[in-house]
Parts: sequence; C-alpha cells; structure tokens
Amino acid sequence: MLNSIGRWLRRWSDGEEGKSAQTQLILSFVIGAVVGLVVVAFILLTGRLAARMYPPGGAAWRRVLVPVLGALTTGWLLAKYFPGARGSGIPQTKFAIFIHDGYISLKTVLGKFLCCSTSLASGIALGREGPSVQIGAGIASVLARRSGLQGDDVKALIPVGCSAALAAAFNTPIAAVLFSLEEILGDLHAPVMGSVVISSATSWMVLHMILGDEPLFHVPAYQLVSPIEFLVYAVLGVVGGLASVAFVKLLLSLRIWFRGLPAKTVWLQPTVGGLLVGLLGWYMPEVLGVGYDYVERVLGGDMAVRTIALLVVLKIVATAVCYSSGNAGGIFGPSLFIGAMVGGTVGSLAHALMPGVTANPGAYALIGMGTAFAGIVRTPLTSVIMIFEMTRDYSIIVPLMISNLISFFVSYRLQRQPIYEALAHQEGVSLPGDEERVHQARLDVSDVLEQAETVAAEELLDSRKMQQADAAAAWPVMQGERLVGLLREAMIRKVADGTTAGVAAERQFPFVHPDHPLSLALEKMGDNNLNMLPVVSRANVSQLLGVVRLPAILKAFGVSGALQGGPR
Amino acid sequence: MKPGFVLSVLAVVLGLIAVDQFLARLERLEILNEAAAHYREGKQLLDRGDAAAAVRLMERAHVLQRNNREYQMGLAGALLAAGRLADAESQLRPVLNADSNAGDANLAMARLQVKLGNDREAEAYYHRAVYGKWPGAGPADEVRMELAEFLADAGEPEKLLAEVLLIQSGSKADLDTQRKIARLLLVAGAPARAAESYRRLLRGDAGDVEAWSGLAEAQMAQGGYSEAQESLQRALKLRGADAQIAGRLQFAAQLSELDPTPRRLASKDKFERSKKVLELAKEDLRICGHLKGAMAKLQPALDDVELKEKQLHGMDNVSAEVLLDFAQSLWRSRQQTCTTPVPETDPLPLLIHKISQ
Repeated sequence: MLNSIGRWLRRWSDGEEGKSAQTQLILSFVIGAVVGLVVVAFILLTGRLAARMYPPGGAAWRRVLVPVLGALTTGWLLAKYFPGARGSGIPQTKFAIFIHDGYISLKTVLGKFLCCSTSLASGIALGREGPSVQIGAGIASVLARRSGLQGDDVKALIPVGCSAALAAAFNTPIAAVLFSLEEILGDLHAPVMGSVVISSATSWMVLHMILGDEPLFHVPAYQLVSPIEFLVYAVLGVVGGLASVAFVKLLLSLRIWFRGLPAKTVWLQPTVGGLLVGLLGWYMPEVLGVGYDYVERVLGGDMAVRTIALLVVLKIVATAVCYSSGNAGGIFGPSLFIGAMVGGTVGSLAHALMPGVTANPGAYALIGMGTAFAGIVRTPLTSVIMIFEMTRDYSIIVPLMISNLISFFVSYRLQRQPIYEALAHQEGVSLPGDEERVHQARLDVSDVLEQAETVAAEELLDSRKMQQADAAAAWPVMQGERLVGLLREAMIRKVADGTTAGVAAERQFPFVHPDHPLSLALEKMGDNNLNMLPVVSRANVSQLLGVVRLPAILKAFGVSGALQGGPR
Repeated sequence: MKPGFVLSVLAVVLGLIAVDQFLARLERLEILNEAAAHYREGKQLLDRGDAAAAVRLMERAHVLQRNNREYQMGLAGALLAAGRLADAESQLRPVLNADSNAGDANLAMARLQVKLGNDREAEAYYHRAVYGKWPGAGPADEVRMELAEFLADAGEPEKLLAEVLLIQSGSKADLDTQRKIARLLLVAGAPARAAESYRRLLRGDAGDVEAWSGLAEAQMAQGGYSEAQESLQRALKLRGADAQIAGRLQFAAQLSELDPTPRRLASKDKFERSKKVLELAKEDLRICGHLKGAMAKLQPALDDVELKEKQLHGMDNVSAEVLLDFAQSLWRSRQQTCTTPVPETDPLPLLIHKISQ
C-alpha cells in the first residue's frame, strides 16, 4: 500500500503545472497539524514543568532560586548552542522571511522549544506565544525544505506556520490568521491567505482534539451598563497607550544597555532578569511567569485595586528586564497581563467613582488586554479580533475598538517605531516598515499615466514598416473609440504589404487598470516583452484611458534616465 | 514529495500525538488531584468556621475544574457562609441555569434569598428544592422542615401549617423531628394538634422534659391554664433547677389567676378578674402609644372606655362582660397601631384569645 501511495505521490509531483501550489496546499494541512501538536506539547510541557518547580504550598525561597537557576541554564544553552532561539521569536521569524529566504534551522526550533519551556516554567516573566510563532515558522521552514520546495515557496509557508502556532497557543484561529498577515507579512491581502487559514484551522482542530474546548480565559459575560462608559473606555485607551509606550521604551533602552555589555557576559545576562523577577516574586508571586491565572482573577473582578495597580508597574519592569537581558520568551502574554491590570485599575477606579453607570472592573480588564496589545504589538485589527474571539461576545466590539484605536494612536505618536521593528534595528537588521509599505502601495498606474499614441484599425502598415522602433514598442489599435488590439513593432516588420493595423494587432493583449500597483505593470511588461501597456477602464475594458511606459515607471521609483532610447 | 518524507512526517505526527496525549492525561490527573486537595482542605476550613479561607481554596478547586459541579456548589456554600452573597449568587445561577430542578442548588439559593431578605423568592426556591432532583431518595423532609422553620420565622402560619402537616403525614420521623413538628404546629396556630403530638411523644417517653414543656405551651394556647400548670410541674419535677420552666409555671399560674372565663367563678371574682384584664389592656395600649408616638391617636379610645367604665354600676356578670368587651376593643386598637409582638411573659394575648372564643 505504501508503495502505491509513493507511486501516486511521485506521479502527482512529477506534473510541473501547479506542482508548487499543490505542494503548498498539502503542506498547509501538514504544517497546521504538526505545529498544532508541537505547540500543544510545548504548552503542556511548560505547565507540567512549572507545576514541579512551584508545587502548591512550596517555600518562598523557590520563587527566588528557581528563576535564577532557570535563567542561568537557558542563558548558557542559548549562548553556547542555540543563539537563534534567543528573544521573542517574532523578529527572528521576520528575519527568516525578509532576509534568510525562509530559512529557520531545525536546531533553532529544538532550541527554542527546550529553552523556552525551561525558562517559562522557571517563572521568567515572558510569554509562550512569541516562541510558539518561531517554533511554528521553523517547522514550516523545515517541512517545506524537506519536501523539496525552495526560495519563495519556502518563504510563503512561514506565515502558514505562524498562524498555526498562534491558533494553538491562543485558541484564537481568526486572530492568528490576521496576525500572520498584519504583523508577520505586513499585508492583509497576501496571496498566502488561503494557506494561512487552512493551517490555522487545522492547528485549532488539533488543539481541541487534545485539550478540548477550553478557552484561554474564562471570561464573565460582558456588559455595557451605560453609554457614559464609552468615555471611560477612551480614558482606558489613553492610559493603556501610555503604559504600552512606557513598556516599549523601557525594554528598548534596557536592551541597548545589555547589548553594550562585553560579549563574554552574554550567557550570564539572562540571570539578571531571573534574579530581578525572583526578588519581585518573593514579595509578589503574581509577577512570576506569564501570569494567566491572575489575569483570569482580574477578569472575574476578584483582585484588590492596589494589588492590580502595583502589578502594572512590577510586570512592566520584570518583563522588560527579562526580555532585554536575553531570556527566551515573548511579550504577547505579558502584554495581555499588563493590559488586564491597567484595565482592572481603571475599571476599579471608575466603578468606585461611578458605581451606577459602570460595569464590574473585570469588563475593563478584558478591554484593557486588547488595548495594551494594540499599543505594544501595534496590530489593532488583530487585537480587536483576538479579544472578540476570546469572549465570543459581539457587544464588546465597539468599546474594544474605541479603546484599542486610542491606545494605538497614543503609542504611535509617542513611539514611532513598532517594537519588533525597533528590536530588529538594534540587531542591525532593516525590516520593511509600515511607512515603506504605505509608500509602495501608494504608487499605482494612475501616477504615471500618459496620453496614448494610437493606431486606427484600418490604417495600412506599409508606411510604418520604414520607421525603426524598439522591438518592445507597441501601440493600442482603435476602432473608432474602442480599443480592439495591440500592435507590436515585431508584428509590423513581419506582415505583408497592404495589411491593416486591425489585422496585424493582437486581440488578446495585456493591459492594466489605473489603480493597479506599478509593480504589477512592471511584471506584465516583463512577461510580455513590452515597454508599454495600455491602461483601460475597469468599467469598460474597450475604453482606453492612456498608456503606462517603462521610463515613467522607473522615474516614479527614482531611477530616472536608466533607459536611454526608450519607446516613443 | 518523496515517500520517505511522507513516512517520516507521519511518524512524527503519530509520535507527537502520543506525547501530547500523555502530557494531556498527566495534566488532567494532576489538576484533578490538586483541585480535590483544595476542595478537601476548603471543606475542613468551612467546618471549622473559617469561611474566608475556605472560599480561597474552594475557588482554586473550582478554577482548576470548572466543570465539577460539586466544587462549584461547595464554593457557593463557602461564599454564602462568608457573607459574600452576590458572589454566591453568581456561582449558583449557572448551576441552576444548567439544571433548574437541581434540589441542592435550589436549597442553596433559598438559603441565599433568606439572607438577602427576599422572602418570596426564598419560599419559591425552597419549594423547588423540596420537589427538585436529588441523588437517591433525597432529603425532601429535611428541606421541608427547613422551609417550615423559614415560614415560622416569616410569620406565615397558614403556609406553615400546610407544610408541617405534610411532614407529619409523610414520615416515620425521628424523635427530634417529632419535637420540631409539635413546636411548629403550635407556632402555626394549631395548639390542639401540637398538644396531641406532645402527648404522643410523652407516651413514648414520660420523662421527656421538652415534651412536657411543649404540652404546657399548647395547653396554655388552648386556654387550659391549670392543665398547663400541671404539665409544667411535671417538667419541673424532672428538671428542678430549670429557671425557664419555673418562669413559665409562674406565668401559667398568673394566667390561671387572671382568667375570667371559668364557669364556676363567682360573679364578683369574674368582675375583679375582668377589671384586671381591662387594666392590662389599657397598660399595653399606653406602652404602645408611647413607643410609636401615637398617644394622641389612641387617647380617645382610652378616654371613651374609661368614661363608659365609670358609668358601670354593680359587679355582676353583665358588667364583667362589658369590661371584657372594652378590653378586647382596646386590644384591637393596640394591634392596629403596634405590629410588634408582645413579650412571651405578657398574659394579655392569651387571655384575649380565650375570651374571644
């Protein structure tokens, strides 16, 4: 039976047409399943290890010693064996896409799994979602390469692995898809969207198969008590944005400081994070680890406001130091923690001042999670959908959007560069930023549209035969007001005397619309060996609006004069 | 894709499934044990009366195993004991939403409503608890008894009588329950039934002091003051140093001396007793008027009675009856103004009750 499957696979894979697309499709399912299984194992293993390191009723000294030992061990492993597994995993995944042609080694995947599970279980104040993303991306890269894919095809599967990882880590399949497109690729219309959705759904099914339908947080039903609450949510957006900026700036400045230390101390640096979190944890155990248990308590409105407010500060400091000192772990989970505490604080104060018109502080903690996520990670759409998926409550959407967008705006105004981009810059890597993407997207055909020099369909080509033009030149052929074809220079040279333009013109010809990006126009020119393309109306493809020429495109990209003797 | 690759992926997937299943089972087991330990410890604390600490542990157990109904009910009970009524309600609501006929959840909700002072809701939940689902035979009689106690406290004698009669008819009740039934019958305004219940108890154990005392109360309620004295003397003989019984005996003697209704009583004695009853009624009305600041409202009734009293001549039976009518009239006025019950040591209500019969 295995032989026949093998023969079928060989036969199927031998067909060149669509081979890569079909492989990608199948790999999307496979990646979804494998990544889902690995991430579930990662979550379970981390949880069981943590339960052993901090048994119920354990002595307080454990809270100091265990993080120090954990950081020391993983610091040494990261420095010695797995340097690629350091940090969150999100910037590293983006490096793989934009710099390393989608390459992430199996060793990095194993290192990330081992170091992160040890580090997180020991109480380091970082999250498991970022590492899961890198593990997922790494598995996708390994599977793609082993299945014979190369270059862009491997790269295209990285976001597929990311979405599968996030779907399993957060139990939010839609947010996982959005995050992969919004943050990892920076393009919500990326062509890999289908594969990303498939892997996310597959991974989510695996998660449910093994762990059942357990949400990440048990959230009480959301309730908007009064429209006045919208104002409180706006305030929460501002406070959440400020807290996000404080966190990002502290983390980035500490990271610069740690990077300035001698290289031989790299293995020891994570211990600083371990020691700090241990000392904080001695007095306040809530600071240790990702702290989702306490997030759930805040969501239930079951923590004192003083404790919640103190936790905002302590968690910001603990996470910033742990991350910047080089421990393995992400900032997704801590972002949610910080946001829940900020929301809980704002909500508690609002409820104390206006008990009749405000909901329980838990509702604010819930919105606060999205607020901090939008402010720190800067993916406003993902943050809205993620919280919506966690609550499955439509009534939360509007307050969530208000708060998230205000937080995003505050964060953007006070800290232009998003955290992952800034971290990449510190590593000496330049990833495509938001402004770059906006600029690229802004250039379209309408920006370089020129008036067309046309040929009438009934015109005899005899006289044109005498003129010398670029072989890639072409002219739109018109019958009255209608565009009927494209006349190439090469065709003019071939036809017999007495042939009209209408006869010699190509009836099936390439064209673009005014809103097409210039990159597409360039691609079509290259594919068809043309240096111009007719630009036609979307409402009526026979209506010629003008032409787009190669020199104009190059000029728009800032490469003026690159082509001498261009088309007419 | 090479077959080798496909096979290795399959092997990895199968291996991962095995690892995940093992870890998931391990996690479930550990969480189950941890939750059970928290619940056990929480229950012990609750039994020791440390409700606040019990809540913390029960909460942990519930968070670890949200689907465990027993833990959720335990948490609700602990919250109720800790006085966190709103939190207790928020735990009980989902249990009742899942099964509105659950006897234990309805009983817990009834107790919660009693604490919240929502008597109507409490009564409804008690009824649902009585007729709800219980594992096995269910403690329907115990719940009904709790409902009866609640109705007694809520001052609903008719409903109370209905419930107590149901308990009485349906059970092979133990001694303690029989005593409760007899007492509640008395509260429900059924002294004859109560007396019969006490007599039944005494037939089983003539040395039952509580039964003698209860019988005496039932006899007093029926107007049998001398019988009540006898019963209380029997009780006092069995438990000589009991100040309460001695006090009630004195009270029964007082009633006996004040009672104007015995047939063999001389006219003069009847008149004298009736006058004393009237004086008691006037005194009660004055106290009520002062307490409620309603003297101005009550004074005309008093003046009227005193005026009419002065117009009476002779100390015959007719005059005695008139005085008793005045006493009843003043008592009615008192009842309309002062709803607070009179002390147990006040003989007037019992005397008025007997006179009105």
